[in-house]
Amino acid sequence: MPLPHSRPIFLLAAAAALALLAAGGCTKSAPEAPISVTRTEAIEDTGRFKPEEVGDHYDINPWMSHVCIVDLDQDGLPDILACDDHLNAIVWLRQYPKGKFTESILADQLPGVVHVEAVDMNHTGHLDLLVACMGEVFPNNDKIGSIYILENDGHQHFSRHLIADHIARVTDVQAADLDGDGKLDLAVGQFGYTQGEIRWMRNLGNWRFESHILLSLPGTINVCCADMTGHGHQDIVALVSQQYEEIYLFENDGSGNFTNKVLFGSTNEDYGSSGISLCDINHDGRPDILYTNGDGFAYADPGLRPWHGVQWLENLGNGFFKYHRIGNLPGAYSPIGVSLDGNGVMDIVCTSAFNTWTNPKAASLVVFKNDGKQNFTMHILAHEPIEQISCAAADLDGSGLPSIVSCGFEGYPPFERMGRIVIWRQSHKK
Amino acid sequence: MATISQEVEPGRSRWPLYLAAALVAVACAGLAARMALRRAAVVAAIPARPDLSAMPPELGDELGASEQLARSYLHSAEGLARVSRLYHANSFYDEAMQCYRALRTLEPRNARWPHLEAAILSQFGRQDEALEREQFAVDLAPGYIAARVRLGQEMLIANRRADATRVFNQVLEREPSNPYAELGLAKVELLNGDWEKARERLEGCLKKNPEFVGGLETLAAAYEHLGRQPEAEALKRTIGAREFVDIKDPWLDELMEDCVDSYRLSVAAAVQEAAGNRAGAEQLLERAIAFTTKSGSFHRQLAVLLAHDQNLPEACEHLRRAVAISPKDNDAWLLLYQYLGTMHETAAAEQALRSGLANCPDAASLHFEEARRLVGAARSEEAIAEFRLAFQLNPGDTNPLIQLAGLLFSINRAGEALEALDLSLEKLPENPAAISMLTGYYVSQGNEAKALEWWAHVRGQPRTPPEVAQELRSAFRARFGRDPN
Repeated sequence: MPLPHSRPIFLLAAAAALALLAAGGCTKSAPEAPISVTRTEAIEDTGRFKPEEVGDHYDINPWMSHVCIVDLDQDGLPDILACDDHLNAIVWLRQYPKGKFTESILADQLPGVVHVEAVDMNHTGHLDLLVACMGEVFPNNDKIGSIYILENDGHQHFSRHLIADHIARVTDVQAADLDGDGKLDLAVGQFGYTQGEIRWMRNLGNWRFESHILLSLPGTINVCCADMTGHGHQDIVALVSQQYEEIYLFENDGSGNFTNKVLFGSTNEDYGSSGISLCDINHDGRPDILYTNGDGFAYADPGLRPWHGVQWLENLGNGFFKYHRIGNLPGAYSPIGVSLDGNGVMDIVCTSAFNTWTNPKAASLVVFKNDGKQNFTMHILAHEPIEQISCAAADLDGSGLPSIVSCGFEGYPPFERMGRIVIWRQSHKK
Repeated sequence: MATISQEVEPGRSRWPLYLAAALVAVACAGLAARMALRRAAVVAAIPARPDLSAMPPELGDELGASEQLARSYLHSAEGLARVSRLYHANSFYDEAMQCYRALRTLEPRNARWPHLEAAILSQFGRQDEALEREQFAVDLAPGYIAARVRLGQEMLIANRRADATRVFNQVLEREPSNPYAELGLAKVELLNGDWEKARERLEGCLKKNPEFVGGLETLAAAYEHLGRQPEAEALKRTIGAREFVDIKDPWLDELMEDCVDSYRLSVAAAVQEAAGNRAGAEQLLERAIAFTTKSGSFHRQLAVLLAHDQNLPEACEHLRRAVAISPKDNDAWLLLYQYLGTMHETAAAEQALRSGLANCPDAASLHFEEARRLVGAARSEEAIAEFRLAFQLNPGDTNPLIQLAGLLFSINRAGEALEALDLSLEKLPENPAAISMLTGYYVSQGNEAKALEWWAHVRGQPRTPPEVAQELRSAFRARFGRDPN
């Protein structure tokens, strides 16, 4: 039975509710901060460094895969070491006298040599060389990798010790005392192709090493050793690319027993991981991880991806890390931490190995300047030479300001504006 | 009687009508207000136009039409969804994210928006944020498998192995033979150091999905780790040049329909090809070509696909267009020469090779082909020079040295041939062609010790084709009257 007095009220209430419902769903929720994934403002800073090509004359497109700065002869003048994959050799650009670099071949017959590290392996006071050889730089699934140590007699004459061969292609070798016996052991990254590995090699003395496999996945590009957890032991950090695109921490119990942990990974199988290095970016006493993704070899013609860029993993201690994206850079490679102003604030320099080289404004060398609070601004240091794949930085001339050295792996067109080994000196003195 | 009664009390009889009209009016006002509010929210979310000067004009046109739809009262959300697709598909990720943020508010029950947001965030390495969005998407659309697999993968790389295991198992409850979930679980086991369990799981997975490259690669790694080298090598041969391809994700994959970025289309085509979808790859490349007239490489890429389909005439047509656009594309010249040769159009092939060399005088691959052509024409000295030049131009490729050695052996210049092989082995240790050739040479010379030495290399090289190894074995037996070890 209808309720003559309550019905109008009921209907009005219903109408009001309907109106509210109809208008509903559009009320403003708490504002959500917009996310920017692609914007990286860049400042042209090409006058900051003066490039100078050093080393031997070359007729064909350079294939230099790695460069580092070290005072090999310990004469007080930093030198340059580089891997030349045309020569299958390590070349030494000795600085003598100051400012003059003379190239010579330190060791050849190193197939697909891609990494060299100067370390006094046998505590003689002379810098020996750890050498990683892929066997062949371009994709190959054969076990053609090898590891050499070149023992320095103190006069830069090197005896060759073959540490391992017939293994999946080796991309990086680093030395650290991993079992606490006072001898330097080795951490080894092996890219392989569809099969690769990460291993550590216990130093048994007399240039003999015993292998322990840590992970059998393809695509390892870099390994780094440091006490990452603050527990007082040398841990291993490794970057694995291919479809994995992951950074692993192998936490050491001090005796060479390792527990693995993924520190970062991307579900983008085309992320293009290209390099890591360690650096205490925020001066908290803990080594952080610098990381670039800029490999453009996958799938189609080599080229850039919108997500190529630079990031760092802040070491929070005890094996915990926090990811920070720094900025985008097509073809980003070879991240290094360096205080370009010499004031201790760590900037991040890296190269671009792939870019839109038809665009003359495409960057080939950049620095992400740190404001001291880990806010970074990209400065373009150079647009050429192009296809620079590795860089290093150090005070080459005693000015108190670091110079940069880069090298080019010109494996793909356009074969122009090339640079084999280039020193970038700061235009202004401290 | 009731009618009379209503006529007697007109006020009472009409109020429901008035009320109904008022109700409708209020409801309409409410609906209009809702539409206006939604439209206002959509209009506010339409991204400012980025610089589209490097893009084909079609993108601007499509965006214009979609923005117009987004500004309408009736289809504003649909318009914004179209805008989001266009931006996402063409790598304008910030703009797409802006759209998705608004769409999540407008359509809070639609899992597509957080899923697509997660896809962008993970592309840029922002996994924590991606994981949060993906979890949201999975909660909204529990049956959308790609999102759940992604969630598992994101948990795995966030080091949440137990959570990842739970999520991958949920996928298997819904799709018992999903290879990506099996691979995820195997990876958890592998990271936990349980290689045997991972192996067992992957073997089971591959019984159901024998062509799953991700599983084949990881099983090969497991075999290798467990010291089962022959099985690992067999799997590597099975994998061949195939590559891992990510899980099918219809919401994400369909964005390609709106892509006008030729390079991105070409990358997508390469992915489709790796997945075995050659027809899809061809379609994507045809679109890549349609959107640019400046790059020949897409014609080259399509030509390779067409050649795989034995459509050499059309492949050559695309290669001709490729070299017309990019005369310095030595790979295109090389393919044109090779395909024309396969079609027995010798004169045209040779003309292509000459043109290629004229345009790309430093192309090692073209000099290599020229050397081979000269060998065929019995012009040995010129061929030797061309082989040497090809190697000099690209010292990373040892093929010219192998061919050079073959030629030198054939004209009784064994010393030079051995030098070439030594150099090839220095460049590429255990080069299967070089070690086979050395074995054959020493067998032919009756040098049993040397033949056995190189035969050991051949046996240790899994890439030596079985028929070559068999041939060498037979030659050894014929020469020395016994089998090599």
